[in-house]
Formats: sequence, structure tokens, C-alpha cells
Amino acid sequence: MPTGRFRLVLGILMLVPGSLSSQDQRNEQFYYPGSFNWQFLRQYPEGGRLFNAFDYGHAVLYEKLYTRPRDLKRELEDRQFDYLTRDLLVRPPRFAVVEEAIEPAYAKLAWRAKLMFDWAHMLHRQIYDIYADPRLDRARQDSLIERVTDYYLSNRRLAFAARPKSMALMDDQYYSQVFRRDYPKFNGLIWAYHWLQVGLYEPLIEGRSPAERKAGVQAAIARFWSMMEAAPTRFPKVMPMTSAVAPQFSAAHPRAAVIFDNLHMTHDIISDILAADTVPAGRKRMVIYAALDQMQDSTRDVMTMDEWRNMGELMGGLGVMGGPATGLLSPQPIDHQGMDAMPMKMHHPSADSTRSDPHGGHRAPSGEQPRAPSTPAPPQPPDSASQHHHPQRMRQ
Amino acid sequence: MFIRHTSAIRRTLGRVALAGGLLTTLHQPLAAQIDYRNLDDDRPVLTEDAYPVERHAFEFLLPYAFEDERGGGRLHAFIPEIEHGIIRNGQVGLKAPIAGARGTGETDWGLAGLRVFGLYNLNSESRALPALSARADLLLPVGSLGGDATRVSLKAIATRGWGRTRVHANAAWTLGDENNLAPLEPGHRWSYSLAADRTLFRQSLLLIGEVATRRAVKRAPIEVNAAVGARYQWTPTTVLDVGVRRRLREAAGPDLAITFGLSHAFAVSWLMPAGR
Repeated sequence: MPTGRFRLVLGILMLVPGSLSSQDQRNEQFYYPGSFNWQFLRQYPEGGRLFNAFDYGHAVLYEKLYTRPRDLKRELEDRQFDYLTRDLLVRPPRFAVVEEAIEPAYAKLAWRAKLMFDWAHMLHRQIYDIYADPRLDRARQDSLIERVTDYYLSNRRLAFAARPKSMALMDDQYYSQVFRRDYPKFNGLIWAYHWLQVGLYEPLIEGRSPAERKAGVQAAIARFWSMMEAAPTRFPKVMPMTSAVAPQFSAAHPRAAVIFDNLHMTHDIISDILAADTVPAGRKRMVIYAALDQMQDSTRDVMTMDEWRNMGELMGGLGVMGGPATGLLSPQPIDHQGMDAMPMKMHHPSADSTRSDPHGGHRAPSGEQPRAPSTPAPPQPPDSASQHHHPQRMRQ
Repeated sequence: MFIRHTSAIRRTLGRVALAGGLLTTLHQPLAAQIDYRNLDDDRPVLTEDAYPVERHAFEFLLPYAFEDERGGGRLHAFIPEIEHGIIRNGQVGLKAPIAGARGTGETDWGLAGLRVFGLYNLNSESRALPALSARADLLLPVGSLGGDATRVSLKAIATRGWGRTRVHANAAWTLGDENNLAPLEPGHRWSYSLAADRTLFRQSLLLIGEVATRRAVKRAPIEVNAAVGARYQWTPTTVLDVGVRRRLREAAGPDLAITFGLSHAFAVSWLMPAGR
């Protein structure tokens, strides 16, 4: 190459880093190695593949909310919802979806958020893999879960806080609850995803043999499908809390359970930021990144672990979160007007009162009793799929 | 020019295969699932994307290539390669191309040099900029077909995506003595290529098309080649690829070049931050 051209190229290469200082870096990181990896997909492909389709749902939602195609409500509530529930979830991909291909505009807007979700989903998947590995006894599984959680947290750029964050960050901001109000069906679908993502840990823990675990996983998936059949009435009415939907997992691995609740809160927060007209398009990245900073900070806006454990009851109980993943189904309030009458505003225990909260004015006063999340309604009939698997255990 | 080293090369190939097998079994598989979308150079087209392997990841590649040259020459090649995400957004790698070249009847096998390289990705794609990377290769004259020259190659890489479609541009220049070069991976004097790919996410399949132009050495005829290829996620950690290339000009380039290969992603626990 002629020397002059070489110098020109070198000069350009030296200038580039300066102009890139405001850009996101790729920052991808591999996950923790071990023979347990991919066991869940191998042993329970019906669950593993379903989660691949969930990834698409999350991705397409953010892309549509950000790019705002014409008639967005119909696009999400009808077209995308139907595609997901009648096609992609029915025939899910063998492997993970390249989310960047589904949400190109959103990925360019908020790469860090996308990466944080990927990192937490990786932890989700590895814990399924550990529970699904028939070669591991429970003690070894528990040890490995703590190790992969350590590894997750060691990436401080991408890890959510391992302390429960105040629900006010999700529900009491100026942009809060827009998405669930304007897109109730899709929001219910996302909450159903989150219900299954945490709920599936329970049959893997409860099952005493591979056959029991397999039946339990299939029963939980059947309950998820029963939500689809009656959408949106059987969708969770509030965000499913891991401590309520997966109590055994939460007791065994509270750090991971808290991380997943923080992850799912952030899903909702970003949906709201993207959907809210009060956040102008030009500020969405900044507001999203500010929310990410809050969700990574374990020193501010945090609940105590006791408050977090009680959060399920305070939010209305397991019944409004989609019900249990195993065993008896609890009564679920039936909303005869669809999702329109679901609780849109909840009061939550205050964040750690020793810390100042920049949005403290939006919080319920400390000690205030949480409002009942919905009008009591007759118990819902047990879902048929679960009845099939546990007929003797169903409550009428 | 070529010396026959059939038994030595068989031993080398055996060792390479053994090493690859050990790497893929002793260290348990990891990441990926979407590795089919990571375009490595020559896998299966010349163009690569701007993204390195993930931090802490290893990728082992074992491709085979065959070229039917204009004028009757034929070239077989195995190019085992290992890549490692040694720093955040950066990778290093080593290629050990093993060539079997047939000029006038007999095929001569030999190690065709060693290629040590590093790639650094400057940014993820944004609304304003494509993803940009810089790569440097050191070509060492090692092996019976390795030639005599130590050379340095520099490359600039850009990737821009529009959802399921991406476009990649590569521009590379090689510096150093141009006499008695290796028959395989010698480093071209300059090389420019443009590729587009399309992701079929439900099939975990990537389809790629490419046009590339390059000049081997000063005053050599300029090649213009077209290539198509595909990458398929076979298992969560293993990708199969296949590609075909042909010259578009009479002057230079292959009548037909075919390649297929396998790449496998893994990690080593004791190299991880929480490794125990």
C-alpha cells in the first residue's frame, strides 16, 4: 500500500476513538461454563423453546413502541399479539432469537438496556439448566446457582441490583403505568411470560424424580397456555413477584429471585418510558439510562427483604399474579370488563427510609396500608390443563 | 516451490483434530445459540462483521476450502483457527493454514505460515454510526509452504444493520516483502469487500452474499469475485457454514472455490472472574 494512503488510514483510525466516546460499546460477555449448560433445552424443549419465543415478544414490543408505526394499538394488541399467541409461541424457534434483528431501532437507542436484559436472561437460563441437570443433587445445584449468581453480579456494568428495588420506581414516576393502561392485552402477555419464567422453577424444585419434574413443568406450561386461551381475563393483573410465584426458589436463592424481580420491573419501566408521550422521543434514551442506573444501585430506593417477601400479599396475593405454578390454583378475581378494570395504581411499601428518594413525593406514606388491588370476585374455575395433571388437587 | 510432507502433515492434521476435540469436550460448551450471525473472515465469505467474540469466550474453527484456480492450479486447505475474547470488545486469534497445492500433477502439503491477529471493536452500532472495528494480522513465514516474508496486514471493518438485513464493508492492506509468499492466506496487497446478510431467525440461518476485489501483489491482475454462503446454528454452541465463490473477471480469481466448516464456542471456567 502506498505510504501516503497508509498514513491517511492511520490518521482516520486515530481520530475515530474520540468521535466514538459518546457511543455505546458492545460489551458482550460469555456466561459461566459448565456441563449443566443447555440441559433445560435438552430435557425440557417444550419450555426452552417457549422462552426463545418470549424473547421475540419482548423485542418486538420495544421496537414497535419506539418506532410508533401507524395505529400502534392495533399493531400490538391485535397483529403482534395474534402472531405471538397463534404462531410463534405455538411453533417456537429451536434456539434464541437474535433480538437485535427484531428490535434494530431500539437496540441502537438503548444498547445497554438490551445487554442488561440479555445478561439477566442468561442467569435465568443457567438456573433452569442447573435444575434440569439430572446428574446434580440438590446441594450441588444450590451451590452452582450461587456461583452463577456471583458470576452474574461480577459484571457490574450489566447486573441488576441484588437488593429489592422500590416498586415506586416502576409505578410512581411521571411516565408510569402508561403501557399497561394503553395496551392491556400485550401487557398481560408480558406478565404471563414473567409468571412462567419464574414459576417454572417450582416444579423443577418440587419434583422428586425426572418424571415428576417433567410432569410439573408441563403442567406449569399448560397453565400458561390456559392464560392464552382466555386472554386477557386470565392474565396476571399485577406484575408477578418471584417471591409469590416461586416461593421455594425465592427462599433458596433470594439474590437471584430479587434480581429477576428487578429485571421484570425494568421491563415494565422501559415499556412505560417508550409508550409515554410525556417522555419526548429525544429524551427516551436518557430517561431509560437513568432508570437503569437506579435499578443497578443497591444503596438507594430499596426495600427490606421482609417487605419484598410480603410484597405478593400486599399487591393482592398470588391469585392476581397468575396463580401458583404448581399444586392448587388459588381463586383469581374475574374481571368481567376485561383488563380495563384492573388495578392501575398500587401503593407499595416505601423504599428504604434511611435514603433520600428523589421521587419521594410519589410514594405512599410510610405505614399506609396498601390498597386492595381489585374488587373481590368469585373464584375462577380451575384451568382445564392443570386439572388434567393434578385432578385430585384442584380446588373447586 | 512446494515440498512434499505428506506424513508430517497427516500427523499435524491429526494433532489439530485431537486438540480441537479436546477443546470441545474438556471445556464444556457455553454461549452462543446466535453465533450463526457472527461473521468470521472466510466463514464462509471473505468479509467479516465488526463484532469480536464475547469477553472470555473461545471459538474454535475448523474449515476446509477448495479452490480451482484459473489456469488449472488447485488448492486444498484446512485452516484451523482459535479466537479468544481476551479483553472487553477485543479478541486475539491464531490461524494455522495447512495447504495442499497442486500445480503440475502432485499435491504438496505443508503448513502455510502462521497468522496471529487482534481485533478491537470501537462501538456498537448506533443511530448515527455503524459498528466499527480495526484488525491487525501478523503473517509469519512458518512451515514448508509458509514462504519467506513476515508481513503485517491492517483492516478496517464496518457493520450496519436494518433489522434482519445487515451490510458489512471490509478494507485491508498488507505491508511487507511480496516475494515468495505462502500459497494460502498470503495477505493481499489490498482487498475491499462488501457483503450483505439476511437473518432467518426461526431457522437460525444466515444467508450471505458478497462482492470482493483484491490484488495479490504489485502489478498482479485484480481479482473481482462474487460469493454466496450460509451459516446454520447446528447446536447451541456449534455453527456449520458453507460458501461458494467465483471470479467475475477473466484476469484472475478462482473458477470455483468451495468452503465448509464448523465453529464451536466455549469458555474455560478458571479464566472467568468467578472461576473456581
